[in-house]
Order: sequence, then C-alpha cells, then structure tokens
Amino acid sequence: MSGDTTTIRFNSPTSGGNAESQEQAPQQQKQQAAAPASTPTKATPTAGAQALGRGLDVGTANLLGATQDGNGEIVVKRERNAFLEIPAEFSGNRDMLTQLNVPYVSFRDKLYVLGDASFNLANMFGQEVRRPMADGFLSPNEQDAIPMMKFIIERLLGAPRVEGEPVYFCIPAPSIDKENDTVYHEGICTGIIKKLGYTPKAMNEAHAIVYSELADHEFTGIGVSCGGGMFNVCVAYKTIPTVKFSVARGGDWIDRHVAKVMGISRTRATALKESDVDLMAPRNREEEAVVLYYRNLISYVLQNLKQRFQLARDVPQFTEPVEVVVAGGTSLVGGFVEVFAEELQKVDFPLQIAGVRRAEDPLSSVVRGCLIAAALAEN
Amino acid sequence: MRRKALDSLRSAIEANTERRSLEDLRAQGKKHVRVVSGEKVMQIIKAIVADIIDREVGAVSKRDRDRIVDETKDQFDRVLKMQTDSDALIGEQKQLVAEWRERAQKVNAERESLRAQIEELRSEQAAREGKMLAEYQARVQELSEKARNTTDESGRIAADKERLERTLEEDRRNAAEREARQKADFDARLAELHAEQRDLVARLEGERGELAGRQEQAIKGAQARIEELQAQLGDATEGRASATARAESLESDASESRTRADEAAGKLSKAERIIHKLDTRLQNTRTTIENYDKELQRVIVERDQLKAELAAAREKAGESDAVAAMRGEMDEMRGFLTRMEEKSGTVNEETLNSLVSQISDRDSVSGDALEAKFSESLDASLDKITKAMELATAKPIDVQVEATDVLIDSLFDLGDDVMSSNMDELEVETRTSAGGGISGHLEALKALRTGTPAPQEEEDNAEAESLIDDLLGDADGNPDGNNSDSNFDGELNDTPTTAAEGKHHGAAAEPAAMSGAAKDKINASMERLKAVREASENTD
Ligand SMILES: Nc1ncnc2c1ncn2[C@@H]1O[C@H](COP(=O)(O)OP(=O)(O)O)[C@@H](O)[C@H]1O
Repeated sequence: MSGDTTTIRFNSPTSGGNAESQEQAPQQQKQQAAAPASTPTKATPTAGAQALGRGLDVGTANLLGATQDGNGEIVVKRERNAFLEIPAEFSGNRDMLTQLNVPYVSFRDKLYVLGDASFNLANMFGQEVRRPMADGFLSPNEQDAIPMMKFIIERLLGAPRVEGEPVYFCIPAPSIDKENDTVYHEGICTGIIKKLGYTPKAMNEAHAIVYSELADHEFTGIGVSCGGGMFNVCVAYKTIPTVKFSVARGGDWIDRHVAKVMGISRTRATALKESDVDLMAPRNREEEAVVLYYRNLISYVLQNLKQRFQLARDVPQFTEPVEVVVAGGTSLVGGFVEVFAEELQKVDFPLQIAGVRRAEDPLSSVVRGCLIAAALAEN
Repeated sequence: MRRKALDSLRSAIEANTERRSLEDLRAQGKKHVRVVSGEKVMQIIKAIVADIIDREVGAVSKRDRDRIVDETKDQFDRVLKMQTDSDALIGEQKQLVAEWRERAQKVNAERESLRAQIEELRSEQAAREGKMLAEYQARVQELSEKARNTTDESGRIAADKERLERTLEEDRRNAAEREARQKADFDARLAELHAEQRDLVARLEGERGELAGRQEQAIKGAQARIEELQAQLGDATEGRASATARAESLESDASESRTRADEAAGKLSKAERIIHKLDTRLQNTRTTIENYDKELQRVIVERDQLKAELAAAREKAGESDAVAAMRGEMDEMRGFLTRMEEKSGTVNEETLNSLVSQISDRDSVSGDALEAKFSESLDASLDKITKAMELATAKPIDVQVEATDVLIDSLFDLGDDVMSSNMDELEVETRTSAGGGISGHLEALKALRTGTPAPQEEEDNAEAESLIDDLLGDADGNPDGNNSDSNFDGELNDTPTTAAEGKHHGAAAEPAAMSGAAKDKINASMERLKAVREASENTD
C-alpha cells in the first residue's frame, strides 16, 4: 500500500513538518500565475517526420537510448550494460545465438554475448558477467569492455538520421567519496558516440531529471537519480544547476552490504531487493537489512546535499518551496518516497521542500531529460 | 365477469394464507400447528365464492356456482400439491448434499492414504536405486577380478605351449636315437639273413604301399588340423609356429622314413602315435582357446550391459560423483579391453572403438589444449589492448580528448574480419516512455530561454556552459544548417497559438518580470562564462 505511493507532500513546507502521503494529483504549489505549461501534452502529430536529436543514458546497470517517433511519442530502447565471454568451444554456435535472439560480438578469436542475454548465459556457465562500468564510471580495468559498450550503444542509437545528429548523454557528477576519472569516462563516451556519426554532448544525470520532471515548476527543484552505481543530485533554479554532486553508492552498494551481513550471494541480495520489498513494512530479517541500508544510503545522500548546499556560493533565492523528484532503478523499491521524505525531515534541510515525488517512469526519466536537451539543441 | 370473480378468489386465498416452513415455525417456538382440513377449506371456498358471486354478480345458476367451486377447489389443490412437492424436493436435495459431503470426506481420506503410499513408494524407490548402485559397483569389482583371472589363464596357456614344445623336442630326439639304433640292428640282421632278404623285401614292398597311403592320410589330417590351429591362433600364437615347424619336421621325418621301407611300419606307427599325441594336445589347446574366446565374449556382453547400465545411471544421477567414479571404471575397462585385444585379436573392434571415442569425446570438452589456446589468445588480446591504452594515455593530460580519440581509434580500427556481430539482425527491447511526449517541456524551456534566464553562477562549470551554449544557440542563428528535416520549428511555434493551449503557453513567457538589474547581472555572468569557455577552448 505505502509502496505504491509516488508522492509525498509536506504540510508546512519546512524541513520539520509532518510528511503526509497523498496519492491524488499533487496539489499545485502556488506558482506565479506565470506557471508554464501544465503536464506536458502530446506533441501535435506531424506527418511522419521524426524530430532530430537523441538521448542516451549511460548507466552502471543499464544503457538506454531515446528518440521521438513521428507521433511525438518517446521511444526508449534499453539494454543491460554487461557482457560475457563465451568459452571457446561454444563459439561455433553463432547461428544458434542469432536464432535465440542473443546478441554477440566476435572479437579476434573470442566470442562475447552482450546485454541481458549475458546474465542468463552467465547462470548457465556458472560465471559472473563482466560490467564495463562500476560506481557510475567506466572501469579502467575493463578495457575489453569499451568495444562491447560501443556495440550496445550502436544497438540503442542506430544510425544517425543526419550526419552529426546531436546525442545528449548523461554523465555523473564527480563523486564526493571516491576519486574518479571523469575526463576518461566522458572522453571515451564522447569518442564512442562520435565514432557512430553523432555529435555528442554530455549532461549531468540528475540535471536531466530536472529537465524531464520539473517542467511544471519552471525547471526549479531537486532531481535525484538513484542508480545502480551511484546517487546523483542536482539542485536547479530555472534549469540552471546550482549544486550537483554524486556519491559512489547506489543499488549495488546496498546489494553488497546486504549480502555481506546476511551471508548470502550478491545475486540473491539483488533478487531479494528487487522482489516486492516495502521499505515501510519489512517482512523478515533479510528485508530489514535492505531497509537498513536503504535508509543509511538516503540519509547519507541528504546530509551531504545539505552540506553542499550550505557551502555553495551564489545560491539563488528560492522563494517558493521546491519539489524533489527521484528517479532511477533504485527508487523503484516500495516505500522509497516515504523513507526519503522521513529522512529529509530529519536532516533539517535549509531549503523549504514542497514535496517528494517519484518520476512517472523512473527508469526512463534520465534518458528523457537527455532527449529534451538534444531536441532543444536542435531547435 | 367470471374470470374476474376467480381472480378475486385467488387473491382472497393468497391474502388469507401464508407459506411457512416447519423450521420457521419451530424456530418461533411452535410445537403444534392447527391444520385445516380439506373439507373445511372447501367450505371456506364455497363461502368465499358464494360471497363474491353474490356481491359481484348477484344470482347465478346453481350449476355455474358448482362449477366455479370445483374449479376453485382444483386450483387450491394444485397450489397445495406444489407446496408439498417443493418441500419434498428440498428434503431430497439436503440428503444429496449430505451424501456428497460424505463422499468428499471419503475421497479426501483416500487421497491422504494415496499420498502416504506415494511417499512410501518414493522412499522405496530411493532405497532400490541405492541398492542398484551398490550392486553395480560390486559387479564392476567382480568383472575386473574376472579380467585378472582370464589374464592368469592366458599365462597358463603360454606355459602349456612351452611344455608342449619341450615334449615335442624330446620326442624328436628320441625318435632320432631310436632310428639310429634300429638302423644298426637292421643292417646286422640284413647281413645275417641275406637269403631271406628278397622275400622280405617283396613283402615289405607291399606293406609299404599300404602304409604310405595311411601315412599320407595322417599327414593330411595333421596339416588340416595345423591349418585349423593356425586360423585359431592367429599371428599372436607362437605355439602355432612351433607346431607348424614340428609338423613340417614330422613331414620330412615321415618322407625320410618312407625310404626306409623295412622299418617303416614300426616307425610310422610311432610317428602316428606322436602325431596322435600332438593332435590331442593341440585339440586341448584349441579347447582352451575356445573357452578363452567364450569367456571373452561373455566379458564383452557384460561390458555392453555395464555400458548400458552406466548410461542409465548417468542419466539418472546427472554428472554426479557416482558418474565420475563410473567413468574411472570405464577407463579401467578400456585398459583391460585393450590388453585383451593385444592378446587375442578377437575383441569386437567396433564396440571398443565406439567406447574409446565416446570416452575421448568427453575428454576433449575440457581439453587442456583448448584451454591453453584460449588463454593464449586472451593474453594476446589483453596485451594489445593494454598497449593501445598505454600508447593513448601516455600523452599529457591536456590533450586527453585527443588521446581518447587515439584510444578509440585503436580499439575500433580492426577490420570486419577481426570484429563481427549479429546485432544488426536482432531486435532490442523497445517501449514507449510512460511520461508522454516532450513538446510541453520544450515549450516551457523555450519560454524560459526567451524570458528570464538563470541566476548567477560563477563556478567554472561545464554544465552551465553547455546550458549557456543552448541558450545562446538561438542567438547565433543556430539551426537551418543541419536540422532542415527537423519537425521542431513548425511544431513548437504552432502549439502556443492554438486556442486551447494558449492559456497555458501564453503565460510561459511571463517570467520576464525580472528586474532590469537582475537581468544585467545575469547577462554579465553569462558573458563571463562565455569568456571562460572560450579561453579554455583556446588553450586546448
Ligand atoms: N524493482 C526494483 N526494486 C529495487 N531496486 C531495483 C528494482 N529494479 C531495479 N533495481 C535496482 O536499480 C539499479 C539499477 O538502476 P538503473 O537506474 O538502471 O541504474 P544505472 O543508472 O546505474 O544504470 C540496480 O541496483 C537494481 O538492482
């Protein structure tokens, strides 16, 4: 029940107020009469012409590509960011792989299976899949992975419709708790996309959420991207990011710790976490462990957000209480919005918060934001 | 008129009676009910009818009156009967329900006992399987013992053969000695009995002819037997060679002795005896070999059975430890059979080969050679990629983008034969985003862009830069060049002008209500950002 809640409104929009759950349409916080377009409406269908520009979400767990079709609908393609090297003696069965709809890449005399299929085959061969990225960034010790990622991205984007069609792809903000080579990561992503004939442009992951979810609030508010490898936060004022950062903890971090404390495998921990847990109503010790780490992670993110916000210079005056939107796979768990709201009240946040809400389509929120940015660039 | 009267009669009855079940009455605490007899009802009916008829139609003939009374009575009877019928029906159904319930209980009990039986059968089956496995292992043990015994027997045969050879050699020596002795005696006797010589010679000549025939027959028989033995023993039997040699020497002995006609009879009968003895021995050897063959056949049959059992067991147990153990035993069997083959040459080649190939097939799956080749190529690829990385990342950090390009190029500059994929043949998971279209977003962004841009942000912030890029893009007269087939221009300009949407979008330009000072400040910071960006671009 509580797990279905996607919106929490704060009664008195202060950090100390009581959270109250409302499943009805969010009451529009007083926006100046000048509030821009209400819920974005479908574009007027145009005669088959497809809008240029594409979005690409480069995530630790999933890669997503988005484009607009002729009717103004957003078409999203998804693939797991993972691959598996197939033992050499099986490399003869390529036709069979194609028949089974299993994407592979043959690279020198090795055969790799890509994406979701690699998970199934890994179980079969009793191996672990390899993942090109860890904690939000390309892993420097998985260089084999770069060609694999190029193939997956090519699969998601297809060929550019015009030479140099813009692709906005998301990158994480540098992590506050882990040294990461953002230049290397962004450089490789840029290189791959350029190689495919597009014009790449990087944008912050949480900022993309502001683009896709806060149109009703003049693109003012806080976007939180809750991914597998990290949490990204962006505080934006009328589209402009004023504070943004990331922590190198996300769904995978929860899995790791739950596995450790409960003495179970990571795969089991992931399955447990994704199987209908309600953070507000754990049913057993394992679920309690999941709740514990979720809470810990959310509190960690919020305390750091508070600190970053206080340290930031030239923060604009937010005259209205702001909206918080969460998205990403890790926000899918039941009760996430409630726990987030509770923890938010605990940290005594310096900004007035109107409410916390989960994006309507949490998995595609980032890639939609990227697509909006790309379409805008084309416009 | 009459119909009307009857209708009111019916309603009179309905109005004055009520239907109640006995249970109801009992529930109300009624133990007795008053029963109205049919006659009484008749009277009531008559009274009612008379009353109605009097009231409604006045005087009516007696016949009509009686008829109406009869009809009414019939109707009343029908109603009563219907009620009793339905009561009976309800009773019947109740009983049926009870029966069904009872039957269901019985079925449940049966199901429980069946379940218990199945459980029992299952555990019995498990026990049986365990026993089978134990028996099978014992069988293998037994078989390998038998195999050892058979090997011992071959040893015995070889010893026999050797003994036989020795005996033959002795016989030959004795025969030669005897021959020499007899020759001397014969010569002496010849000198003494010169006179009788001619007769004797003549007589012996006759006998010699007869005996030569017999000898020839004996030799033929020996040859045939030897050939037979030759066939049986094959190349492997050394005994055959010596037997043949012996037979040949016997043959030459015999032909020699033919020239010594006088002694021939005794000599021939001796030779015959020797051949007979030899024959018996060879016969024995043959029997032994035949037995040995039979045993071998039996072993092969058992091995085939074993193989079948093994296959069945493997199927049952999957790739379990038991199978691994069995596979070990199979290997032992194989060794044993190979040894057999060396000894006899009579093992069923085909069976052995299929067994051997079956076993070696399994080996190749985890073959060391494949693994070595695999890791070799893995090392080679890793090496090349590492080198490419080193090459690329060795450059200074300020040409990182260039370095990345080099890296990317080196990673993908491989040619199709090195890298291939089936991706262009496959579908990818595709769905429509639940959030709806984005034209509203673009409208709002455009409105913001033309109205109030952002607040101050002094950070040298790539994100802000890119946004500023977007914001300035318009002023630069951006599109036309590369988005000629974009549908945004028309679409986005059109939308706000439609009457229905106008009230939303029209307001979008509103945020312009910002003070001139703020605007100046923003413009200034944008300029600054632009300058920073340009500066950084120049240094690149
Ligand atoms: N139903 C679910 N409940 C909880 N967590 C989920 C669920 N589905 C996916 N996840 C988690 O979400 C994470 C992946 O989210 P995603 O947004 O795809 O990450 P990224 O942006 O890093 O690719 C994983 O840790 C996964 O376990």
